[in-house]
Amino acid sequence: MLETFNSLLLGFSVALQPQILMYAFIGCLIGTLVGMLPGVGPLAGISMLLPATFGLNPIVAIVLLSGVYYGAMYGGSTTSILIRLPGEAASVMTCIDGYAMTQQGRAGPALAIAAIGSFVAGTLGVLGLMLLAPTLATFALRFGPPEYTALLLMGLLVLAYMTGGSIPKTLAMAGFGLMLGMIGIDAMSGYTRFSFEVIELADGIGIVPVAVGLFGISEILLTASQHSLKLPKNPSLRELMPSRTELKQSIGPIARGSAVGFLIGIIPGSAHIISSFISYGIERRISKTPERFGNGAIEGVAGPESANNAAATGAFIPMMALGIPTSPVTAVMIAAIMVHGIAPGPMLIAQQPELFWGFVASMYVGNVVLLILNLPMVGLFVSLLRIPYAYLYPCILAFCILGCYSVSNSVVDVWIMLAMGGVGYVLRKFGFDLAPVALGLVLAPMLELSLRQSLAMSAGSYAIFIERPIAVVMLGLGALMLLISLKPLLFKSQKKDWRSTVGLDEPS
Amino acid sequence: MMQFAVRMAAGAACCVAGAGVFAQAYPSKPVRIVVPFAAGGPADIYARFLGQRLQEPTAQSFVIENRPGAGSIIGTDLVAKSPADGYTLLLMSNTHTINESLVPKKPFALMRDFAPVAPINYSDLLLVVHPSLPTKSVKELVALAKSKPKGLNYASSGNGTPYHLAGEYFKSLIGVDIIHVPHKGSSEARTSVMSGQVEMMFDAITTMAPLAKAGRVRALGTTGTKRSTVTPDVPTVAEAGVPGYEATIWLGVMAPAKTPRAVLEKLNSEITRITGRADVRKTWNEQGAEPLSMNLGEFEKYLNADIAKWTQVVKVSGARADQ
Repeated sequence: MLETFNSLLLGFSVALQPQILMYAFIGCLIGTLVGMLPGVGPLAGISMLLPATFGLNPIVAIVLLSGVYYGAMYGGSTTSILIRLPGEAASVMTCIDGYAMTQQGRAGPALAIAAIGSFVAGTLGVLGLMLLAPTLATFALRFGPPEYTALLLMGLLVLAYMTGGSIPKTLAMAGFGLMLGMIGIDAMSGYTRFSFEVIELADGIGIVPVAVGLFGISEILLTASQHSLKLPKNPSLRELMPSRTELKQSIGPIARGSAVGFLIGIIPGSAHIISSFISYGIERRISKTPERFGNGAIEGVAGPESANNAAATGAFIPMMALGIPTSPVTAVMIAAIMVHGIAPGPMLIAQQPELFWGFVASMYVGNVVLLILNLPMVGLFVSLLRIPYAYLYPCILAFCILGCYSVSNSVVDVWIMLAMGGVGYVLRKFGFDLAPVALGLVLAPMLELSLRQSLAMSAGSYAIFIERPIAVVMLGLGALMLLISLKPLLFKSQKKDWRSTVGLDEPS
Repeated sequence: MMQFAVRMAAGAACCVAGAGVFAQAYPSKPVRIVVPFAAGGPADIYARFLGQRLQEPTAQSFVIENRPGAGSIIGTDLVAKSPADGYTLLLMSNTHTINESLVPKKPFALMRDFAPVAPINYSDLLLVVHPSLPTKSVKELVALAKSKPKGLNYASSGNGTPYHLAGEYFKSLIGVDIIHVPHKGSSEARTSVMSGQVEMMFDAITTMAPLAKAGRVRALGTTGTKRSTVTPDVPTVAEAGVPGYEATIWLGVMAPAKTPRAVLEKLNSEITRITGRADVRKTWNEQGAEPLSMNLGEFEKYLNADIAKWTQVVKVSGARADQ
């Protein structure tokens, strides 16, 4: 404990040097901007900046990159809330209630709560990382393909709680998402599926162009197709900050989101993406007024935003304890220091204490910088909405195309985005909810790979799922959730499920 | 107008004088090296190293462009379709020579659509097992695998990667089936082996050596023809019981097929000069890489031999990735 404290002091002595502090600030600023650029998420952001850090010293490089990483997690929520445009995969859920709040003139509180939630979750996450890393890393390592499969199955069950629409429509959309996720090279056999001779499709359809298209572009089309524009109300200055009630409503979601996000974040791999989906599902499930979700419930912003930031921090735990990356983002970070001849490994922390603890301390600093950077800017961001649609929307469209293209320099991605915009427009006209498509697309490839990895490991025996304690517990929980969600369908005589009492959200 | 005429004349002169003059002028503008792998990986890092070193003698910048995706095919296809003027180059690895037989249906053929420029270096892989496995040597591992066919699993970073084929080659030489468990990327595969989810793996020596030293995994052998400078106390797989085994990761540079011979010669001599330097060898050795230097003819022969070798392995193992 004392040792940790001393190491942290060393870390702060590094992180608070003016030069490092400046880079942390620059990183956060770039990150916030990158996060706002539609389509460019944290991973794309730091990958693009990686080459630029090769000329810097390793500590500066990692501080800069982690600033970008954090900043992008913050920035991603801004566009989701203001213009229903998910900056990255994790903010898809924020779009739903965040944008609904904007339409009610409550964009300020939504942005503020996203920033506060992110700050709290980020700080709790770093604390957890520092104190619990060795214990949790052991847990993380027990998470193999069978456990992953069980977790993702649970993720699928969350679908039931995700939308207010009819169950068949939700399932249809989830099925659509799952099918999109089937496109591309099959990781197990190497066969290419449904690529229709388009090489770019061999890599699969990314969540980014789909999410930007379904949510953002479709919104632009819908607005343009309306005769009389329903302008979002311009909020007065006093309305920029969340009210006391709203803050109170957000405490629970932020705490639960932080915990859930952190735990999911620890798991090696890309599971962190689903943390915001699961958080949203939980909040909706335990809420006393679930019908408010989808119509501007602040809990629907606070929970997922906290979850994705906590998950971002949790992802560093295996890296910290083992010294090797276990997720794509940490892999890029490690690459940034490998270029300087520093070999990653379990000895990394012992051999490079300044580097390591400087990095941890800079995460604390980064969180504070971001809060300072973001809260005062809420007013500025909100006033963006005063720009007339005729000018704002063409700009947004241009940024969408730019952002989508720059992630992997692929024109095919831009076409996918535009096509998904059209699909999203039609589906919304017919009253389908789009979030299940995003969840299905995210889950399908991961679920398939881990299921087949498990079966390869067990030579085809499904017993592998019940031989492993963590997997059994999660499958059990999943089954329980399924039963609970089936209850209203089985016992119709009971009090009506809220789902049948609330209609679909009118497409705005 | 006058200037235009001069330029035209100069252009015409160039054409008449042919490749010799062209080579002296090359490169007259920045050169793009397309890396069909993600930023931060070994291919990217060595490409940047090379790009930086080429800048000095040629007085032009060599820009690295990462175009990852579909197991290197997206970026490679881009170069295949680029003008053959020496201003777009491809950074290749033996993923490309493996793909020749593993993925027959792809939009390009390596030796038809590309001209060899120069090899860069090769790195050994390290055969590691989880410490819970009782085997302390390659011989014991082979014995264990033979005692329970299909009972062992090996991890790789994905189908068709050199790590995957290193495993397939191992299987084909010892004649026992070991189940391949592909992952999405090296880091996930590594986590699986460290946690004992999957028993063994062939992995990059630089990342695995520190983990072996810390006891997280047990190193059984390196995959080169001689021991690695990084792990001098670990025998090669060949000397430890599987004679003839060799599976490294090597990198090289290619250009679109019709690139003028003089440009290829010029690039080859500049790159060979860099890979031949003692300080470069020292730096790379510390990272587990050994420089390779060949002239154009030697490199072409090397490529053909490598393609033939992997064709054989792919045939024996039945590994396939076509449609």
